[in-house]
Amino acid sequence: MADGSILRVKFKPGVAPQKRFEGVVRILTDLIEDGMRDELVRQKAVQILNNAGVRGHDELGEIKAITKWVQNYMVYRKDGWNVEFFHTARRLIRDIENGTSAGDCDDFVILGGALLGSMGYPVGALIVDSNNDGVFNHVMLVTKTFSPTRQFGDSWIPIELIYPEFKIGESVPISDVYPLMANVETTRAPIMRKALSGIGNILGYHPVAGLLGYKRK
Amino acid sequence: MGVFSELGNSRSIGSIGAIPKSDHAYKILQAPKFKDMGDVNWSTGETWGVLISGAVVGVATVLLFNRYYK
Repeated sequence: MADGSILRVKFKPGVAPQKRFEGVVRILTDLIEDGMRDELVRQKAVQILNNAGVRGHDELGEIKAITKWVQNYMVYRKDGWNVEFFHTARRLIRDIENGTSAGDCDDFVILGGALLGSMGYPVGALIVDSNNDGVFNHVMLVTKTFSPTRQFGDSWIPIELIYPEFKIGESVPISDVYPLMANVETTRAPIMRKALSGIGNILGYHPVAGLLGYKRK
Repeated sequence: MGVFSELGNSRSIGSIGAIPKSDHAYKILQAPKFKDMGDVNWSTGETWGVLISGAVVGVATVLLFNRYYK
């Protein structure tokens, strides 16, 4: 995977909100999938768990440790006006280590999802409506343990990553959710390479992001 | 700002006070329809496309093999 890659999606005027939303969530899960297969991301996840002293087989401990690390070290910054930035998990880790971390909720989910996914957990993006107005406006991470736990049983666990004071399972008040699961077995090319092959290269656009007016930085 | 920008009803929360916490997301995810998230979704056209294409290629391969090597 290219190091330090950023996708910049600029919305064309007149693109329907639902179309924007569908394009954005697809890119989001694609980047989680790319990150969870990245050896550097897995190395970072192992380092986080070892530094936190999490014992082997402690699934909830692993999820909590990675959640805390992302909440504490990644810095929330809004995207530019009418522009959606997506970073690779590798880029997000590098920025944290360089002291230049900046990302919004979708970047937090890319990083958290990639780290947990690289450790074998099923992960996905949980798009939520936090204003109770029928518009999906925020994204959280969702994961689960393989063994039932006393706290969560075998349920899916929503994780709010942008606020350090939120524990796993907690969220802001929300009225609706739209889950989109990452699939580690995907055989597609990494999203940052798609512009180098196929139709995406001919047009200079990612096939999905092209609908949104995507331009590669 | 991007698509996901209006978190937590900022119109009513403003910049003062703590961000309200809830277990709404967790409770919503207890619904039976979310039980099988991440499993293979047999209802998608993509799934059936792969299965039927695979079957067609497999049958064609067997037919051609039998025609030329028996």
